Formats: sequence, structure tokens, C-alpha cells
Amino acid sequence: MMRTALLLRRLSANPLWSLVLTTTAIATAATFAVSCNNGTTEGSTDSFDRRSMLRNIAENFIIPSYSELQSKVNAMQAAVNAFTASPSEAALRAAQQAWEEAYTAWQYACTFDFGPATTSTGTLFQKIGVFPTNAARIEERIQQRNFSTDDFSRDTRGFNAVEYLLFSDSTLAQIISRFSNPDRRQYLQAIVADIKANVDATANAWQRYRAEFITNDGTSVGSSTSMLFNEFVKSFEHIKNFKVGLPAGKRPGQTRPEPQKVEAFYSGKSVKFIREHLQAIEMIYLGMHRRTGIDDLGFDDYLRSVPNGAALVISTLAQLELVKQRMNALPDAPLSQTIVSNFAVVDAFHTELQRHTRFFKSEMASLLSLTITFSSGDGD
Amino acid sequence: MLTSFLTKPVHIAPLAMFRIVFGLVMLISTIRFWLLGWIEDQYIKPVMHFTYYGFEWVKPLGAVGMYLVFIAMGLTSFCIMLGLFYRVSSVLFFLLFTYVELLDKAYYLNHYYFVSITAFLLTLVPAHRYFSLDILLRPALRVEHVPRWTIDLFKLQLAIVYFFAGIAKINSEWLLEAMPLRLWLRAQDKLPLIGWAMPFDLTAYLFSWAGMIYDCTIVFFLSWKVTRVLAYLAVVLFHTITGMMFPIGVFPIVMIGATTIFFSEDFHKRAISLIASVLHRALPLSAQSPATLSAKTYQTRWQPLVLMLLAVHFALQFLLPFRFLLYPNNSWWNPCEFFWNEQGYRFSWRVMLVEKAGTAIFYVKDSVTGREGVVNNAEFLNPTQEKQMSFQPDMILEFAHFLRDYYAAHGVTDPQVRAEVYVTMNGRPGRLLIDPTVDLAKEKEGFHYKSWILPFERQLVSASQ
Repeated sequence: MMRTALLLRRLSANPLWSLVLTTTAIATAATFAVSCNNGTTEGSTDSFDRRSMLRNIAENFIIPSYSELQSKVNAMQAAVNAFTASPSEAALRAAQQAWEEAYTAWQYACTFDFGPATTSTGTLFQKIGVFPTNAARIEERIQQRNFSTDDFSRDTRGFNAVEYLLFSDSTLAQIISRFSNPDRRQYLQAIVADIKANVDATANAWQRYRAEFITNDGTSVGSSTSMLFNEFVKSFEHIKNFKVGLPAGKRPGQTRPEPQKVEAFYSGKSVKFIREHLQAIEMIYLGMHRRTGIDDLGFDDYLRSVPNGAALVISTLAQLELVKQRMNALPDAPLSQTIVSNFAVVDAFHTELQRHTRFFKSEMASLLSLTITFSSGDGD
Repeated sequence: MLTSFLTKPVHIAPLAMFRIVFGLVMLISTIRFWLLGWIEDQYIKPVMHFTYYGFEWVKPLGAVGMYLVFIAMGLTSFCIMLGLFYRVSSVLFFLLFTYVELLDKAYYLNHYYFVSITAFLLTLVPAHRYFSLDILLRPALRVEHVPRWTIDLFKLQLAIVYFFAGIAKINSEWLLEAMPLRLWLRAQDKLPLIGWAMPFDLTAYLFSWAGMIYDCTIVFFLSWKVTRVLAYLAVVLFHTITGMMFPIGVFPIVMIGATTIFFSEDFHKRAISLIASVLHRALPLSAQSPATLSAKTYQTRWQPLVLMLLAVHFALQFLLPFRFLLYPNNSWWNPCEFFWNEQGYRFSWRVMLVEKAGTAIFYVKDSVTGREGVVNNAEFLNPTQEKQMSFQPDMILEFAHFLRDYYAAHGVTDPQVRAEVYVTMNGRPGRLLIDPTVDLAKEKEGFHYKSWILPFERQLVSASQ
């Protein structure tokens, strides 16, 4: 007893310790003072279980998205092989259908373009997701019998190149007649095999990476949450800038809309893929499982655990509703035609996407204290 | 009286140690910067740079040039540490480091500013005239004592850094709202030992108040020998914790190293003899026996001039942090307007004081066709540049000017540039930072009040009109 008292007296005689004690006292008083008369901020003290969110994203989003993509790509390869083996209208239709399903599955996987999706030669998106495709180059390569998939002419490969080969003529008969050229058949097979190889590699790598993804649950640069968030925002901006902005002629210096630059130009299904892509993004935000509608942990729940986060979720969802309204107002026609025939409705959609950016990009990052990228340097 | 106080001879050991520690930390910092690939990312790859007003002429030198600059920076910091060709290497290091800092304000950090100032101050003092290779080459250089000002100027500079960082925290946001720590600490729940406490608001209040009191008082406790050891432990603890929490690079070791100057001359003498004995064992330098040399005191005929220069320097140091009060609406206790418009913000030791983030959308319009396009910022800026630009008005203006010139050269006639910039500050819902209708292509940069920056408290302003 005596000793403790002595120790306490010694400690309080020391200026630094008395400083610490005073600080504690003042801060406690200030907290009470503020929490009593300040109704504007929620005094939330619940911590958020990031690891559970990451587990949900890994097990109910990333892994299933890649395995679905994998099986749809396999089906696409089978259909394409059947078509090239004996070209017929039915076989072509089956190949087209298989392409559409695989490319739909891609919309749900393309957002996870980090970790196993990145290799020294680029990301999965860069390897199989590039558009607009370069039709002239593709024809040139077929003519030169150049079936290599190792160079950087990425606009001659990937889903949109397959689409070009399977959809680019106005009638099925015309398409089939072009495939009488064995080089064209070989080219198609080569780029489909390339898609499959890349998807398989990423899907398999994710199986090995999954545990690390879940346990790397900090918030600094290189943490799973920060990588997921960055690619999430990038993916959203990709819709705005490239799927809508570019063909609508929204870039400075573009003198007119360039409708041929839409995604999936030849099949005319751009709007469908935009819708799927945006839905994928919304589901990740909500942590909601696509098949069952179960609302598990997502960015929205994470936000609700931080000061002012609940308000941000409300305004984000309100703006997302406006985005979807404008998207649903797009007519049931190819986007490239709508850009020409009804530009205003495309423009309005682009505007709402634009307005939405800040809710995902700066405001969410700020409230969650997420750092942007590896090369983002030091702060002070 | 003042002169005799400033020129009183004191032992040179603390100054020599300061030189060694500074050189070492700068060497580490330079190598780290290189290894992280930031020379490439920050100074070679970007197509545009955000210049400082009045220093627009400072340009990067290209890949080879920039790598040479960093090689020279590493070499000169190494020479400073060794005390080799000190006069030349200290001046060169100061020039090179400051040159790199002036290239792009997107990377502005208070501690880089501190390094520049310290490097400048080191060029004015004889830090190489004890325990250095220079005196090995020219034994006549060696001195035992130096005038007090050559050491105290570093203490004063450190006092300014801490004190202004401390009083900058005396504002309603920091003390009453515990912002931005209430946002930042929450993300630190994985820290060892203290992570569990981070999601609580109480922790944020405690850290806010403790941080303010620490900054305001630490130099006093470091100067007083009764509390010195405990205060230095507090320095180590404080900077280690903040270093673990935030991506602040070498700042913690800069401060942990620099504050050793507050230790007594006996401490530094012992430290130096310890280093010397280790070196003697490792290297065949035993012929050197400093004790045989006479104990000289450093004298320079430049002293009055240097003291005058220092007076000007420190006067500026005291005034610059207050310059923000010259702009309308800025106030100290309620800092919102000031943190919002950032007019007079930099070079004032406002360290990690506010959380701001923005999304800036730029529109470029052709004056003849009337066609307006939307810029993809990432085409021109790296992530750091885009992030910093998106909430700092002067950088928004500079980017707008860059876009004007770029698109004028790419077929847009007389481009008009406007920007819709939504900024969130300390967790508040985003609001417009600047007037989205103003043609930024026609606005000028400068120290004047910029009317196109929208006030933070808009309702108040419109109500008073």
C-alpha cells in the first residue's frame, strides 16, 4: 500500500505524467460535453468486422464469379469449336449465345481486377476485356496467318474480338461464308483459347489466394479492402468513361459522337452489358448475393459503422436510383443507334453517372480512410 | 547581452552528432525513395507538374537527369554524415533537395519543408569541424568549441515546428469534434496492443488533446534536463505510433533523430567516443588521437552577417503561419473556411490536420463550336496528383490552365475550362468547392483572394447579403 502511494506521488510529481493525467481528464470532459449537446454526429462506437466483409466478398462474389466465368468460357469454347468444325446457322447461333453468356459472366468478374488477376504482362481486364476492337487489324492478322496472342495488340483479342468475328455481318449466312476461310476459323479458336487460358489461370490463382485475401484485413495500401475499393471505383468509372462517355463523344477534342466505339458494337447488346455491370457494382456495394438476394456485409455496412457514414449510404443509394432510372430510360435498341437517334437520353444517363462518381470515389474513401494506390507516396 | 548569449562557446559535439544523424537519415530517405520507384512515378512519368507560384521555371530533368540528381543527393547526404567536403556537399544537398521539392507541389510534405530548412541551416554552421573526415584531411580545421547559436538555431527551428503544429491544433474541429482523428483512428483497429481502442470516440478525443499538448510543450520538456529523458521517450513513442498508423514515410525517424540535439554535450561526447571506439576496432585509424590537439574555438568573420540572415529567416518562420489571417473569412478557432479554401495553408506546420477528399470533373468547351467534353483526369495525372488536385483550389486552377493549353494544341479553339468539384471535409457530405460556371482558363494564379472559391458556409453568406 505504502509503496503504491509513494509511486503515485512520484508519478504525479513528474510534469510529464501529470500532463498525461490532465489530458485524459480534459479529453474525457470534452467528450461528455460534446456528446451531450451535439446531435449532428452519430457517436457510433461499434467496430466493423472487415474480415467478415472480405470473407463474404471472396466466397460469395469473387470465387463464384470466376468459376461461373470459367464454365461459361468453357461452354463458349465448345460451341465455337462445334461451329468451326461444321459451320451451320444453328451452330453459329449456339456460339453467339455462348459468347453472350460468357461475356455476361465477365461483367460480374471484371471488377476484381487485382491480386491474382494481375501478372507481369498486365491485368486480366487488359488481356480479355479491351474494346473497341480493331476490326482492320484482326482482318490483317487473319490474312497474315498471325495467330499469336503474346504481343500487345490487345484490341485484336478478347471478348470483343470474338464478338466481331461472330456478329460482324448482317446475316448469318454471310458470317458463315466468311468462315469458309480456315485461317479465320483458326484465328477464332486461338483467341477463344487465349481467353480460356487467362480466365483459368486467374480463377485457379484465386483459389490459392483466397485465404490471404481474407486475412489481409487492414486498411493501409496493399490491404484487401483498399485493393477491392480501388478496383471497384475504377470499374464504375470504366462504365462512365468508356462504355458511355467515349461513344457519346464526351471526351474533350471529340468533335462528334463515335457510336462505333461502344462495347459489344456488333451484337448490339451494349445496354444489356452495362446493366449487368452496374448491377454487379451495386451488389458489391451492398454485399448482396445475386442469386439469393441475401444482404450480407458490404461497403454500405462498413460505412454505417463510421461517423456520418449512414448519411452517405442514404445519399449514395438515392443517386444510384437516379442512375438506374436513366439507364432504364434507354430504349431497347443498340446503344450505337440510340446515340444517333436519341442523344439526349444517353447524355442524361452519362450525367447521372458523372454525378454519382463522388459518392463512390472521394466521399467513401475519405470516411473509410482508404489509401489510393501503391505509388501514392507519403502523407503528412 | 543577446550577442554574448548567442556567441558563448559551447562544445561542438551536439552539432557534429546532428550532422551525422541528419546525413544518415537523408541517405536512408533517398535510397528508400529510389527503391519504391517514386523517382519514376513522381518525376519522370507524369506529363504535367504542379508548380509553386513564382517557381514555374523549375522543371524536371528527364529520366537520366532525375536519377543523377538522386545519386548526387545520396552521395552528398553520405558526405554530410562523414563530414567529407562538408561545405560543398551541404550546399549541394540543400540545392538538390530543394530543387526536387519545388518540382511538384502535389507531393508537398511539411517534413520535406523541414528537411530543406535544416539543410539550409547546416550550410551556415561548422558541423564538420569535429569527428569528421575533413579534419582527418586537414587537422587544422578541428575545433572543440563553437558559438552557442550554431547549435541553438536547430533547437529553435524544431521548437517552431512543434509549437506551430501544436497551436494549429487549437481549433474547434480538432478539439471539440476530434476530427479528423475520429475518422482516421477507426481504420487502425488492427494495430498491435492498442488496436482494440481505436473505434471508440473517446480514443479519438484522447489522441487529439494529447497530440495538441504534446506538440505545444514537448520542446520545453526536452530543454529541461529534469524531464529530458522522459520527454525523449515520449518523442520516440509519439512518432513510432503515428508512424505505424499513417503513411508518413521517414518523418518519424527525421524527428526522432533531430530531437537528439536537445541532449547535453556530455551525452553527445560519450556517443561520439562510443562510435569512435567501434570505428577504431573496425578500421586501422588508431593513429588519430584527438587529445593531442589543442582545444580551439570556432570563429568566423561572417558571424554578424550569418546572424542577420538567421534573424530574417526566423522572423519569416514566425510570420508565415499567420499569413492565412490576411484572407477574408479565415479564422483560427473555427477553421472551416480556412481548411476549405486553403489560402495561406502551406509552409505553416499544419501536419495531418484535416481530412479532405474531392472528385473534380473538368469540362473543356470549344469557343467556336460550343461543344463541351469531359476530361478523364487519370489520362494526365498520377493517383497522388489527382487526389491532391481534387481538393486544393490552386492546383485545380493550374490543372485547368494545363488543360486549356493542351486542348488548344489539340484542335479545340480557345478552350473554356470549368470544373465541378465536390469536396468532403472531415467527414461532412460533399459540397461544391469552386464556382462550376467560372471559366478557369481566364482566372489568374497569385496570392490574391480568389473569389471563385465558394465559401464553406454558404447559407451564412447568402443570409447576410
